[in-house]
Amino acid sequence: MKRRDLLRYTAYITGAAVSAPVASALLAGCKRDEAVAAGEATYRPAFFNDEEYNFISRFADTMIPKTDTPGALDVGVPEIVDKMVGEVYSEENRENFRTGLKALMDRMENPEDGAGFSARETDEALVYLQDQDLHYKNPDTEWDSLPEVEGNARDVYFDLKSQVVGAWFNSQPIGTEVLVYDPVPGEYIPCGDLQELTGGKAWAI
Amino acid sequence: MKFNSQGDETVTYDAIVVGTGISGGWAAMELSKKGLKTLVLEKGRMVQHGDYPTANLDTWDFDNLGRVPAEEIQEHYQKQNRTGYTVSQQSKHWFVKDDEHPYSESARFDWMRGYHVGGRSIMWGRHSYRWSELDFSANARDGIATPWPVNYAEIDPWYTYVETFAGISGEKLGLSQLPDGNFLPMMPLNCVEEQVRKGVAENMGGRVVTAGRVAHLTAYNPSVHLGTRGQCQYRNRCIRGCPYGGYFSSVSSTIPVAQDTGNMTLRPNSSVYSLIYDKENKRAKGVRFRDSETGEDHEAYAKVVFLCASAIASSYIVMNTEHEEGVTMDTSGELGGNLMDHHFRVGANGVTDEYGDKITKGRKPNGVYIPRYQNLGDRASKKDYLRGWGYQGGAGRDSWGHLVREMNVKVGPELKDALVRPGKWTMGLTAFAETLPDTNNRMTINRDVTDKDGLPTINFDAKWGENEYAMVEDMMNDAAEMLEAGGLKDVRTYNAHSYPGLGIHEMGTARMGSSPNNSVVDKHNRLWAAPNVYMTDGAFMTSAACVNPSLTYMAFTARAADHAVNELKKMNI
Repeated sequence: MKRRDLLRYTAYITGAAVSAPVASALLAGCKRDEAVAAGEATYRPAFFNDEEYNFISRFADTMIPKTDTPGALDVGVPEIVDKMVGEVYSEENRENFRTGLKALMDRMENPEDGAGFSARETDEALVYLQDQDLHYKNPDTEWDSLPEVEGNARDVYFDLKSQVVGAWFNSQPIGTEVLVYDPVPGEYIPCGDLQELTGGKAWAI
Repeated sequence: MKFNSQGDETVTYDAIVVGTGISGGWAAMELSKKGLKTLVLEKGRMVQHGDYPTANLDTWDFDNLGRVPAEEIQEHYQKQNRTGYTVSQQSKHWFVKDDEHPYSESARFDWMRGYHVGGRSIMWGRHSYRWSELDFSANARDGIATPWPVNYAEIDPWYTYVETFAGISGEKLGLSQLPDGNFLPMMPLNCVEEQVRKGVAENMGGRVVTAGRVAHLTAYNPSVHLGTRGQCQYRNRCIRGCPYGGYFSSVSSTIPVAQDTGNMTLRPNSSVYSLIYDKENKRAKGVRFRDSETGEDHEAYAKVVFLCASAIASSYIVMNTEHEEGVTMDTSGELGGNLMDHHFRVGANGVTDEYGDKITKGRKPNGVYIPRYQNLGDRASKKDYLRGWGYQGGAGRDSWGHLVREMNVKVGPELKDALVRPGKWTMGLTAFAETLPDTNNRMTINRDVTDKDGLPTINFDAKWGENEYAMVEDMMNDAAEMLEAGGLKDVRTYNAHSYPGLGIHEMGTARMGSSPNNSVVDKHNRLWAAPNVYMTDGAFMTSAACVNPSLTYMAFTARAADHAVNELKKMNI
């Protein structure tokens, strides 16, 4: 199902305009439902609701897309994030994450100008996320002087970014097929040639 | 109850060793090699070389990338998690559950330990440094606590003896404050470590950057490195236990050798809680222990007892003997006092744009060491505080973490590209500093709280003193100066503060001295109150020096075992 068709369809059955977050959930969900139907994805989030999980999936997919190497979705990053927050975080951190995630989703899905993150086509979503990334990394912003909700959104932005990047980097397909994997080096070369030793890549572990 | 219900005969040994960590393993090996029928009692579960369940797992093999759920930490590991790195899926099985083995704190004390055969020799830091005459003479020179009754020359041959067997890699430097030993080839410094070494040598005369001296086999010699040893494979997964026997641990080294003599009986799940005291002859007849599986109490007898249960646990056994036997073991009032550790978590980090075309192969389980250069006895190194510190640290290329907030990398394919390439070289230094002995820094027995075996527990009351705090600023700033001298940029200092215990070098509580009036053990590690009992773990330390202490426990244990066997031969025990 195409994105715009889905939006129209949703508006039709609900008889109302669809809020951006709900639409995004449906859109990302559509993609995932198709994957489930095709037997490619069977994971159902245990901690996040569908709307949150779909946002995280789109976030991860945009941040680390599939190229000539596997992307975040190919190595199960959203599933890892769902378990990490749901199983590892303390109750307090879990609730803080959820609060911040809501703030982040509100901001990214309801921008004052233009379409929300999930409503954008892939290329536009990337440009938008790059813009958001710069916004949150901006060292000149005095975050403490902004409303608490902005700070919460920023905290979760970096938490989520960090988890997405870490989960991708530490996955088996990336570790063994994309990075250079050497579980038992057997020797130590203290200052070797990067091209010669790894072809310019980082070690997996 | 006798431990095998067959009467005194079968529970009588020549020697009993309590504990199987660094010191207990050495005592077990030395005593059984010298022909003594030796019973080794370990509080925790059995572990044999190879029982390292996580040794070959990769990050992706662990649930949640190796992290332990907050609820599980809350329930079992509130204190053990204070290190920030030990309670992970890769190593949590080597640490006690705090709810099973509680302790109380009048002042915060981070008591990090594991109960299993091998003890902390499985997950120790492996840095192995000799003490110097500067260290052994420190208390006498400064008028602090009580003087050491031994000097460096007496311990020197024992250092050589244990270094040879354990296998210590390192570089000879000819420094009086950090004597050289019988070393295997040093682990080489990498590009940036080497640059900092040169920069410090050129700009900061007298300071030396060398490789950490670590108990890893860089040149395995099967006729010397006995047990189940092998060449270090540069996996840097040491904390999980090494299936290659690449580093020294009791389970890979001393215990297999003791086992091979046929003279050792190893009994795990045995919590020793008291000596059995012969009031008439003022000596120990044996020990009492509780089987932690059955809950039954047992006794075992021997001519000589080695307490190697750890600085805290060995003194606990002696203190509890007073309670169990109604005798005075504490002849000086110092039993339980002078609890020490190293203070640390202070230093600096920096980055460099150089060597972008260079990388290491192998994950060096080691980095650099910068020997102490303060208060060496000359005017130039004199400070307005006593003693000093050394640094551990190292350089490597940044991995993915730095990219999360990197301004110049756009998310998407550009980020993905950057993740696959190694980041910049960075280097950090952390100071490890000496603490002074203070009789008021104490552990006591807490009879109101019991552990899972129903045994009384321990309360801690120890704090850093003025001399410790006085050196922190220099520890921090000197680290930054040296990194800058080595050409690093964006050098940042940090002072993350540590509480006593976190260095996991707890020492003192049964200090060595010249008389029963000023100490708990004599110059041969014998309890003044029971001269057939030797305490050779961290308990006997009269001062702390600034170097990692395990090699010194090894040397004193081997020396004490030799002494005990000679005394037995002379029929003195």
